[in-house]
Amino acid sequence: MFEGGYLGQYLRINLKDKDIEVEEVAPEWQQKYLGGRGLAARFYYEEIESDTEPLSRENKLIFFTGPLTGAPGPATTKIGAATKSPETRQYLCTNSGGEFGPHLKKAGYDGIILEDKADKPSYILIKDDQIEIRDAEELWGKTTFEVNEILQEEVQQPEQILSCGPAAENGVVCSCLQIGDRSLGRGGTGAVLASKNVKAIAVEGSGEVPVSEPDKFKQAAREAISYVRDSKENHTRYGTAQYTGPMNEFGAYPTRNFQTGVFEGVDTIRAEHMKENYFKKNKACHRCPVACAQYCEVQEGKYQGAKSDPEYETIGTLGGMCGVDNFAAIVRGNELCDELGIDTMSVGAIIALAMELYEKGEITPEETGGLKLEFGNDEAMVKMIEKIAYREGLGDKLAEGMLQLAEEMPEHEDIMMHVKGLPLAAYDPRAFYGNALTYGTSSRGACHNVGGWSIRAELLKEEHDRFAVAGKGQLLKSIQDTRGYIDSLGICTVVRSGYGFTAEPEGRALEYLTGYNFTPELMEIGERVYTLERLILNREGRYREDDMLPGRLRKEKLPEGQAEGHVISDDIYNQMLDEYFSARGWDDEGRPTRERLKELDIAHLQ
Amino acid sequence: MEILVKFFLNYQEEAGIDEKIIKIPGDKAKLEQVYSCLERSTDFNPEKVQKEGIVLLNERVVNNRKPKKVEVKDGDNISFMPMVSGG
Repeated sequence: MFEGGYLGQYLRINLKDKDIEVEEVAPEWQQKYLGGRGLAARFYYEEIESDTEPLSRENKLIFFTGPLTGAPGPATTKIGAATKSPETRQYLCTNSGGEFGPHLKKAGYDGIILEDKADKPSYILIKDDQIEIRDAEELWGKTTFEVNEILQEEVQQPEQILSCGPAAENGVVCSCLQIGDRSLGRGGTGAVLASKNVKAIAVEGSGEVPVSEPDKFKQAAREAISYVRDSKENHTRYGTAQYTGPMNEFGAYPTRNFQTGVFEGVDTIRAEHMKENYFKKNKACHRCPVACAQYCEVQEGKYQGAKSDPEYETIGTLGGMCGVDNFAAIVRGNELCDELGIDTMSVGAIIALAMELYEKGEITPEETGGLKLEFGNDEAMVKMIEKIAYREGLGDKLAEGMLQLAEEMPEHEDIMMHVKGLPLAAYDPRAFYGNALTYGTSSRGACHNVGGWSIRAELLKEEHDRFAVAGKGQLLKSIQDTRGYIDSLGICTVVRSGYGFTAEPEGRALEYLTGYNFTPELMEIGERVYTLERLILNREGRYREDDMLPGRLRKEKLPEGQAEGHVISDDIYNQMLDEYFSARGWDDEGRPTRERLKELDIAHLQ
Repeated sequence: MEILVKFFLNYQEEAGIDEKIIKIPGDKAKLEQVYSCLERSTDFNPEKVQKEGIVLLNERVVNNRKPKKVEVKDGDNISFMPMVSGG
């Protein structure tokens, strides 16, 4: 059916039996779910039961690329994954850039499904049709940096190695998977891989991704490059760190565990300061002309020698959320997270929560081992990352994540800033009302990406004024559906407009690649992916009440800044949620209706 | 009248300053006059912000493409920042 983009096959690896099968991907599934997030969700629906324990041998790790992954166009870098999350105890989708996805395609596979559990520590090496499950005794206990060093002889570059760190081996629920400096960050994929006794997967492919009409695709790629070079100049110059100053200006910068939206220490953690004092060089994912990663190095002081590329969300969670205004500490914290394999966002959020509890006297100095876990204490923030990764002292408790803490300390649930167990990103929805729906209805918990990044639309379009209530439901549906298909294509969202991948898709790049004109169907595919994810959530017991926001956002007004006095009251939120459910064709409890499922051609999945 | 102008990111780099108080005769003026004043006193390029940036007047987004229609008054503050886009 397809003349390019897809290889049409994936690896199913049973770790217990060491059985490696090459299986076909049904073209009908590719047509309906594209690839990446969509296809991984479809396999998840089919293969992971609602009562599966995240760290049990019954859970699976499902990786899928998209048709554009590895294709000769800009930023064709992404690989998606789905699994049952130990952090949220529900469906999780996540993705990462780097070279792992492109090389998997070049080796001849669209995806990998890992099943069961290896009898002893292992790693997987994929070189075209040579696939081995190897002994990893030497790798166990090592950091991701050390794993890369040991395995670098097997592949050309560390960005072709997917690995987990000590945090994953210790079952930390927000441990991640690293691909070089990039991460499958959220939800605890690292712990799932480690629970299968797998430390890493290294891949090297020598083939090429087939292209249906190479010359025409090349021309479309050239146009995309030219567009993104012009329009994403600030991404190249500052990376996502560029949002720090503006978000603070908008009163939307989460500070000290969302106690306010304005951080008085922002001047020393904003992008302009980073650029002047820490920036060393840009780094790029596969074939990306933007190269948004801002590789920084600390030249002096107590964090001298620290090197990493902090993104906006990391600066927000390790910085403003923890009241830390020392950018060098953020560089070191980010480096530690990459090294130990832990999600910068969740760990920053949970440290911020612990700081507030410490200041309230609910966590004692005895519990912290004498560490003064106060807002603004950069050394405490850095130290706590290690303590969580290695489950030392208080770190052992925090390693279990927000859901567990909420069960143990229900009296403090209002200040636990998560939805469905996933901590919020670094935007305060009281300053952008649409962002409240972003967090509430994101299918993986409070995620700014999967849930739809509404801030640009809320700033620029009068009809979507950031403090307006009406219209936000429809807006979020559109942004989420767009994201649903983007995440299934295999490209980075930063370059998507260059290909014409917007809420009104245009352009023919995908047709030139695959031989099939997907463009008119893309928004419907995005909606189908989102709706399928909701079916999975319903099956796992998630309904309207699980879409609610933390108490602080519903009860406490922002005390200062542009959004002073604003709060997402239950009345405001329920109005937006009702409109959102209606736009989606879901009932009052957030269940897709039979009619909408029929329209999306997935009624058989209900 | 005095107006506080703040520059973010590339606009800060181009103007060479992060903020500036500008003085314009009278009690009221148009955004267009702010642009002219900045062009004279800094390396700031108003055309660029009109084409691709965001202008906030007292922290609310205004239509930067119609500077003749946007009124400013004594004590206002104006911020210039690039268009935010997801990533």
